Amino acid sequence: MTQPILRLQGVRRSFGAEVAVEVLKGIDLEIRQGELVALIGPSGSGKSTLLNQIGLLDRPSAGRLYVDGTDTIGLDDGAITELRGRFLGFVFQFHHLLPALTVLENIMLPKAAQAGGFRSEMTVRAREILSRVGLSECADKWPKQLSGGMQQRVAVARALMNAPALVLADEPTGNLDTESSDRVFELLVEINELHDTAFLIVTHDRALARRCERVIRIVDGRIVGDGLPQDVLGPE
Amino acid sequence: MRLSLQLALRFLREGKTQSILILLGVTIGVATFVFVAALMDALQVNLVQKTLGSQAHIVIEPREAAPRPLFETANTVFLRRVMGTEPRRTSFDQWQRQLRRVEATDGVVAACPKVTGSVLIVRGALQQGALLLGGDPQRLRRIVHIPDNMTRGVYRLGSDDVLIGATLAADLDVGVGGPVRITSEGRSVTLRVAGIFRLGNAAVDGGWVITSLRSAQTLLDRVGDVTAIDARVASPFEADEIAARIRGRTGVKVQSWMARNQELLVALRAQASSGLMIRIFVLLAVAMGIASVLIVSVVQRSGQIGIMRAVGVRRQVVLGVFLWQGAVFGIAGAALGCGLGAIAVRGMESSALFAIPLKPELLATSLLVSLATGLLSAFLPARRASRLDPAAAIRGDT
Ligand SMILES: Nc1ncnc2c1ncn2[C@@H]1O[C@H](COP(=O)(O)OP(=O)(O)OP(=O)(O)O)[C@@H](O)[C@H]1O
Ligand SMILES: [Mg+2]
Repeated sequence: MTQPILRLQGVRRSFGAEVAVEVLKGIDLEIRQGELVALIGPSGSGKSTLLNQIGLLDRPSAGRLYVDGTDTIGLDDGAITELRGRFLGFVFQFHHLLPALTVLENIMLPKAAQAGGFRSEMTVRAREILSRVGLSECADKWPKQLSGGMQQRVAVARALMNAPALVLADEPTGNLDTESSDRVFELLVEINELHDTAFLIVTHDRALARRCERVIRIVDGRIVGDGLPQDVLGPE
Repeated sequence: MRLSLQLALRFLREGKTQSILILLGVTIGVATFVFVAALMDALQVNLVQKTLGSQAHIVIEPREAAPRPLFETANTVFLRRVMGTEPRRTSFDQWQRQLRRVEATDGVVAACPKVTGSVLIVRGALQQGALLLGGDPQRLRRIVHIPDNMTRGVYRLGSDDVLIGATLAADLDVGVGGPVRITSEGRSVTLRVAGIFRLGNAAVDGGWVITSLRSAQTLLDRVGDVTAIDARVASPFEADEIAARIRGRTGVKVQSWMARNQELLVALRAQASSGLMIRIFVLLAVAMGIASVLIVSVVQRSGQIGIMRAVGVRRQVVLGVFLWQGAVFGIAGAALGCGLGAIAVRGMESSALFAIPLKPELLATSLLVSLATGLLSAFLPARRASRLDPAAAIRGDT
């Protein structure tokens, strides 16, 4: 088996100063290269909070978090930002794209963040990814000219710009109709197979979760199931 | 730097209406700044010029004669009081020598010995009180701007000539070539009007007559003597220091125009400080405008800022995005505002009766001040944006 690209050891996260509420109660987790993982659980169970820890958008209250073999606990904001930009991609349910940038510029943003500016040579790769998500003709459009499903595909393209090892998607299809939702999910699966990019996808949709190779169930801040879809979700 | 600027420009373009409105505000602010500064400056220069048109920068007079013993007895000294109303009694000792000393003082560009006194001008049945000024024409022209302000006749001070203020000439109904009789304490002389001048100062135009030094000396019983020496300096606002220098050299009574016009100086100072207040308040209003627009923009875009941070945009870049927006408002507003200010100044100039120069220094200062205002007012919003917690921002509860 390949080395884990991500490892969590006893990760805890509490909120609130006076009355601390512990949302993550000791998470141990490994994700390996190219895995397609669904993260399920009831509302408020801590899925987004966990994703924020993994995505280095938030810091654990306790525990260890290794990304790409690096212990992230002692890193400063600059190093965290660099690591995040290089190693991780994000797809969110809302706030998909920056309305001030064109579709192509949105896709280039992670690269521009690394390079310190938008440069014309970046457009080659951006256009390539854009055609992979089937939106070649939208390069110079504004996000608001696209449908919700198309915007989410552009967000997926943006997540891939720096060829990350792991893409974190928090309910990427939660806001879409069934058809668009299927299409976005298909895209994720396809990219996963083609590029060996690992995906951790938060979803409420059991049917989608079944199509992943691994499902993690979290309840009340603890992992209560982790394995093949039929083992965690039961037979169809 | 570069990514910050690129994103800043795209944000400004996206919030076009807001950007244009605040740019308009900055433009008007800078225009007001330029206009008020130029106007105050010109007004000050004009007032000083008006004042100095009829006054010497520095007047050197003999020391008032010390009370000297009238006669003494064995144990009593009778003193004769020297009255201020009898200045004629004070003669100017060795004025030729003092004149050379005045002329040799650093900063003095011209000096003119003069005789002045009250006279009565008579023409037929009409008569008017006036101030008689006698001086050497070549020296006098460098002190008061009579030659440039002749309305009729010529600037000439021969032994037979008199120059007369325009209002006074009208009052006496006399024209160029007309004879006038000038009398003082029983002495009297008849001269011909060589020219008529108008300085735009009521006291001068309605009350001055100018003759040669010799005519005035004879008429005022001052033969061989002068009442004062007028001096002109290169920079009027240094008159006080130069006066002190002359005092040191000559030991006589020396007064600058600044000492003689305290009220004017106080008024000028008050004017300058109220102009400064106006400018400061305008800048504050501009700063608050920029700051509030950017604060709103940060709040509106907090989700987007979270996304930017998530995809690897560094904190300092986010800070820069908002600082750049402030800088763009500052620079573009200054450019437009200087233009608008210049137009306003030209418009004002055509209705005002004096020139309002637009100095390049003022425009450069306005640009710098405007840029600094833009950056400073953007600082708080920018810092707030750069400190947003990305997780919270994306969740949407900032
Ligand atoms: N910054 C925060 N401060 C305080 N409480 C928080 C914070 N973030 C999350 N929580 C709380 O933590 C709990 C878990 O939230 P989280 O968003 O991780 O749940 P979730 O599993 O993603 O739910 P959903 O399926 O509804 O998205 C919730 O009770 C939430 O109120
Ligand atoms: Mg959630």
